[in-house]
Amino acid sequence: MSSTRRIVIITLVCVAAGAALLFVLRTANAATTLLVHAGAGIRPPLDELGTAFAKKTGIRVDYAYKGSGCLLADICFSKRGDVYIPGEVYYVEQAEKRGFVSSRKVVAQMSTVLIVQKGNPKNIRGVRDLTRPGLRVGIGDPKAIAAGRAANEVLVRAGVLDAVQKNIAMTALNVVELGIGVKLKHLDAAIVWDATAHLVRDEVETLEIPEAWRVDSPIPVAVLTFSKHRRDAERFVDFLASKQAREVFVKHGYGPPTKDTKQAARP
Amino acid sequence: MSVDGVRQVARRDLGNRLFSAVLGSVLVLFLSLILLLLASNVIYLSQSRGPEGQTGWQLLLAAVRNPENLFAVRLSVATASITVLLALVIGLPAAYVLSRYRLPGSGVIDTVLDLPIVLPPPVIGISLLIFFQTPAGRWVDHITPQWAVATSNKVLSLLSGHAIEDALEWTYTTRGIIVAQFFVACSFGVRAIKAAFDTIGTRHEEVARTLGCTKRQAFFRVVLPMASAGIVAGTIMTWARAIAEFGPVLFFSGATRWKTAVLPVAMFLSFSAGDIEGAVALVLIMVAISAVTLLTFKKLGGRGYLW
Repeated sequence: MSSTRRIVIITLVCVAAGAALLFVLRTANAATTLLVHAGAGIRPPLDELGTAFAKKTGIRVDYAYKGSGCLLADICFSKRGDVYIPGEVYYVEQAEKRGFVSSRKVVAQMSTVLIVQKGNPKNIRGVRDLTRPGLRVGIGDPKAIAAGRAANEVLVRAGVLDAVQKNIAMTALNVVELGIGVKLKHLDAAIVWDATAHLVRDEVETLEIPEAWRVDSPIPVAVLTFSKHRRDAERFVDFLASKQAREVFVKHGYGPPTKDTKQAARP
Repeated sequence: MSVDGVRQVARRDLGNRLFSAVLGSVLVLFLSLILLLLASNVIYLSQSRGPEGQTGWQLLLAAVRNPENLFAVRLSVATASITVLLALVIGLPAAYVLSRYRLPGSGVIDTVLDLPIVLPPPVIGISLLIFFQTPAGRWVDHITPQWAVATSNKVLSLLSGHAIEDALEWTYTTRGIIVAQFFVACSFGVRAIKAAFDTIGTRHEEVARTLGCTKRQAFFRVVLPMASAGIVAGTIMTWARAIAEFGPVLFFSGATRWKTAVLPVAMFLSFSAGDIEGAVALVLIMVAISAVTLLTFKKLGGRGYLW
C-alpha cells in the first residue's frame, strides 16, 4: 500500500469517526436531563415517577439522593441542579431564604409513626412506653435529618424527651436505617415516617401516634433558580403534583397533602 | 566524531531531557492538585464569617475547642489504637505464616485476605449488621459476659472523656466501632507486616537454627528484632487506616453524637446539619493527624511497599 493511499484511508476513517461522535453527542444532548436533589427517604415513589415522567415526555430525570440537610449544603456549594425535593418544608424555606427557589408545590405528606419488631415482643403500646428501662430505641439525628427533628418533636409533645434519651441506642443519618434496624431486630422501636414503615411493613409492626403528638410533614418540591431547564423542571413539578403521581405516592405509604398540617417546631 | 554524529547525540540528549521534563511535570501537576484540594479548605475557612461576625479562624478555634469535636478526636484515637493492638495480635502470626510457609491454595488465601481492603466500605458494615441478626450473631451477643461489657464501657469512657453506657448487644455500640474498623485494618496490617518479614529474608533465622535455636527462639530473638522497624511502620499505617474508617462504622455503629461519632462520622454529621465550618475544621484536624502519621511512618523507614 502506498503511503498516499494510507493517508487518504486514515483521513477518511478519522472524518467518519468524528462525524459519528458528533452525531452521538448531538442525540445525547437533544434530550434534556433534569438533576433533582432529593431526600433519600422519598426514593421509592420518586424512582417510579421519574421513569414514568421520562416515558411520557422524553425528559430524563437524574436523582441525587441524600439526607435533606446534606442536600442543602450540597446546593449551597455547587449551585447546580433543577429541582429540590427535601423531606420537609423547613429545608425549602432555607433554600428560599438564600434565593435558590423560583417556585414550589406540596405533592404529598408523611406522618410520624412508631415501629416495633414483628409480634411486638417487648409489648410496646405507644410513645410513652419508650421510657421503659432497657429498651433499644432509634431516632434520626435531630440536627441533621427531618425524621430526627420530627421524632424529637413527638417526644417533646408526649412529654418524654428526657426519659427516652437514655434508651436511644442509635441515631441515624438516614431514616431507612431505622426501619432496617428494627427489621433486623437490633432495635426494639423507632420513630419513623409512615412511608419508611411501609418499606419494611412485612417485617415490623406499625403503631399509630395519637394526633396530638403526631408530626405531619408535607413534601415540597421546588424549582431551583439556577436551573438551566426551567420549563422542563416546572413540567416535572406539575407532574409530581398530578393525580397520577398522587396515586403512586399513596401506593408507597404517603398521605395526600392536606392544608392544615401541624409543623414541627423549628430550633 | 562527525558533525552529524555530534548533532545526533545532542538531539538525543535534548529528547531525553524533554522526556524527563514531561514525566516530571505530570508528577508536579498531580502534587499541586492534591495541595490545591487541601488548601481550598483553608482558603474557604479564611474567607467565611460566623453568624456573630467571627472570622474563619475564630470559627476554627471554636470548632477545635468544641467538646463534641474533642470527643470525636479522643474517641477516634482510642478506637483506632485498640483496633491496631488487636490487628497486631492477629497480624503478626498470620503475616509470619504467610511470609515463611508455602501454603496450599495461597492464591485463594491472598484473595480472601485482601478482600476487606478492596471491597466498598459499606460491605463490611452491612455484613456486620446482617451477621449479628443470625443465630451465630445472637449467640455472640448472648455469650458476651457482663463484666467484659462493663470493662469496655469503662475503658472507652475514660479514653473518650464521656460516659459510655453500652448494652450487651454489639450493634450500634461504641465498642462496635472497633469491630467495624478491625476487618480492614487487620487485612492491611497483615499485608504490611508480611512485607517486613519478606524483606529480611530467611537466612538469619536459618543460621540461628543451625546454632541451636528453636523455632520459637529464632522468631523472638532474631526475626522479630530485625523486622521491628518494618513492623512498627506497618502498624502506624494500619492505625492511619483504622482512624480513617467511615463506611463500616456508619452502618454498624450508627452516627450517634457523644457515642459513635468518630472523626469521619462527626465530619458527616456536621456537614449534614449544615455546619460547614465545623466540618472543615474536622477535615483539617484529620489532615493533620494523617500527615503526622505518614511522616512518622517514613521516618521509621517505612516505604511504599504496602501493596
